[in-house]
This record gives sequence, C-alpha cells and structure tokens, in this order.
Amino acid sequence: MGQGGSFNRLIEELMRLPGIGPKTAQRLAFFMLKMEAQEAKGIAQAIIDLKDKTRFCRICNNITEDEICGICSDAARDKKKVLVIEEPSNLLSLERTKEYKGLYHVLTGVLSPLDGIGPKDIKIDGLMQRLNNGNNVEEVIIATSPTIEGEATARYLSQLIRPTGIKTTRIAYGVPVGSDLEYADEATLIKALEGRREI
Amino acid sequence: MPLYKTEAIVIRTIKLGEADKIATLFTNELGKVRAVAKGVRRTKSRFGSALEPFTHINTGIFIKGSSSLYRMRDTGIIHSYHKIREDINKIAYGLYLLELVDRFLLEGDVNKGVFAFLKDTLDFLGEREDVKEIFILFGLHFLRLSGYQYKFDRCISCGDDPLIAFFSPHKGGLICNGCIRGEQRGMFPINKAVALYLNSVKNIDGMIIEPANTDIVNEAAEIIKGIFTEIIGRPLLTQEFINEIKG
Repeated sequence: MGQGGSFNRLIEELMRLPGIGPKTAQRLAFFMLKMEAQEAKGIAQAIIDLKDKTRFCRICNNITEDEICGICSDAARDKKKVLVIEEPSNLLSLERTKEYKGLYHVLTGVLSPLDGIGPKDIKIDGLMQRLNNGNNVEEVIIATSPTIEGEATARYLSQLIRPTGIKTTRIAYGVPVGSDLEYADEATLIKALEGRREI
Repeated sequence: MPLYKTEAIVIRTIKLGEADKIATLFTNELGKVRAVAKGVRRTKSRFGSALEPFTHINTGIFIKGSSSLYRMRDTGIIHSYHKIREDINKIAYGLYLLELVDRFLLEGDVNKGVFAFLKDTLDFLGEREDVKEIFILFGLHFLRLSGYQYKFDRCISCGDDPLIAFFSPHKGGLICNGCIRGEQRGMFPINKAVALYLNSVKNIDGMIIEPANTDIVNEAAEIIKGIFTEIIGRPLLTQEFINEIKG
C-alpha cells in the first residue's frame, strides 16, 4: 500500500471495531495522522484507561471504576425496585429519561436459544441472589428488548422470580412516540391495544 | 435482477453493521434463503417487527449486484404468531422447530409441503396448550416430508410385533429383542405404549391428537428429539434450552 507499518497497523486495529470497514478505517487513520500529537495521545490514553480502570459493578454488573457503581452506592435511589436490562448501554438510555430512580441489574446478554445461549451464560444467578438475600426488593421490572430473545428472557425470569413472591412487571410495548399509526405492524398494534390504559 | 414476491417464515436474524440485519427466511417459492434487510434496526423502520422469528410475512426479494445474498423490500406481516411469544415453553419448542427447518433444509431447497405444515403448526402452537403433542406431530410429519419413513408398529427386521424393543433412527424403526445384535450405538429403548402412540400420531391426517398419558407423551417427545439428534449428529442448540427451562 506504500504507507508505513504503523499506519497499516492502525488501519488493521481500527477494522476490529464493529461497523468499521477498510475504507472507514483508512479515513480515520488519515484523520489521526493529521491530529495534534496531544489529541491523538488523549484518544490512546482513554482506551488504555478504559481497559485498566473499568470493571463491572459487583452488585448490578453496570460498568464502573469502583467495586460498586455510583447507582448501587447512591443512598437516594429507591432500593425496593430493580430494573433488569440486557446491557450497560440500556442503563445509559434509561438514565437519560431521569424518570427512574430505582436500582438496576444488567444481565450482560439475553437468552438466545438459537445461538445456544442459555441461563448459565448470562448474569441471572446474581439477580436471584440479590432477590433472595433479604434486600427487601418489592418489584422487579423486566426491560429486556421486545424481541423473541428478550421475550424468552423475560418469561424465564418471571418463572424464576414467581416463587419469591416479589412483584414482577414488564415494560410496556407500543407505538413509538412520533411515529405514524399507519405504518405500525400487526404485532406492535396488538401489544399496544393490550397495554391500553384509561385517560 | 428480478424481484421475487413470496410468502416466508422468519427463522432467525443476525445483526449486520449499524442498522441492518441478515434474515434467514423459509420461503414458499424459493426455499430457504438469506436476505439483507436494510435499516431494520431503526425504531421507525418500515419492517417493524416483521423480522422476528416465527413471523409469517409477504416479502419481495432480489439480488443486487454480485452479492450472494438477497435484499428484502416491500415486507408486510401476514401473521405474527404473537401468542407463541407469551409462553416460555411455546417459545422453546417453536424455536426448536425453526432450528430443525434451518438445519435440515439447504439454501434453495423448495419444500412447499413443509412450508404449509410449519405455518399450520405455528398457528396451533400459539392457540393450543398441548405443546409436546404438537411437537411430536410436527416431528413425525416433518420426517416423512423430508423422506424419512419410520415404522413404529413392527420390528423392521423380522416383522414381528415386539413387546420389548429398541428404536434405531438409522435403520428406520423398531428392532425387537430377538433381532438386536452387536452394536447398539445410536439406538434407544422404547416401550410398546410409546411406540403405539407414535404410530397413531404418524397416521393422523390433520392436527387433532387424542389426549394420551403424560408419561407416554413425554417419552415420545424425547424419542423424536433423539431421532433428530441421531440424524443431525448432535443435539440441536434449542434442545439444551428446553432442558434448562424445565429447571
């Protein structure tokens, strides 16, 4: 290709990232080449820090730099509610709403029978330990995606939690805000009708 | 490139890039195909939930450029079979059926008989509670439609009506105690009541199954799974899930 070894190596490393093909990797590499050295080092250091300092919260599996994340250690959070999500990125989306004040549990995945991913492959045991350890949880809100995998996970969890007597709820399904009813599909409309409420 | 309009059942999808998916579809007209759905993961995508496994859709597929994958467009839901999604047992057995179809059929294999039977089975799986019976019925008819004709009434070697027997997926049916010789690998014991039950279900024309003793149904379901394991060479991934949700 004519460029130096370190340039090619950067392209190859960038291509490991999701959604980055050879052309995008090359464009990013040229962009970094033109950057101030300090800026480029800042990116490199951020990646090193991420790998050295970040870990999963011992309680909820959220990403954190401490043993316990900021949400689990926040005394102001409602400890009677635990919201179950698939990935830490879901937590960021929910926190942006500023509506939910309870705790979380990140499963770090979802049951996917067609891919051979079963209950032992995700953090279900940790959730059950939290619920069985006298933490006075009164409600578990299951917020897995409305896909077949998310649904299988939600149904499986509700089956496991039922004997504890803890109230288990599932987030509502429906028509996305700002969308057009005309384009909503049959499955979404059925769920939206089932989940209707009085106004 | 021509646009093929076809009915299809969604078997599975995998993510592609930022917003796309590759769907494995079992189509009525072109058999099993893989097709790219552009932008399907965006909230406001017109695909909506059309690419969820089990969904019976109408779609248009075409080849673009030199790609080996089809592209999907103009996709609408005919039936979402949403009731399957409300029961973990139905999800597990339903996914087993989809994995079975995925494993057995090669890309481009057209099998309109299996397509029609899968559609009916998913319908019944959503509406009825006798999940294992539906599974057994599908399994036996799927085997027949795929060219496997098993005998459950007599020993395939001597033709006798055996009291105690083994079942051999590779030899095609029951083998009585008198005829069993040497290697028994790949065979499993089967009792007469279960063999009779499987024989009666095999001969059913339709989807109505007479109620049977739970132990017989459970054992018959295990025999069907055993047959598929032997034919494929290993258990299906969804079988492990079925075992795990039983607790």
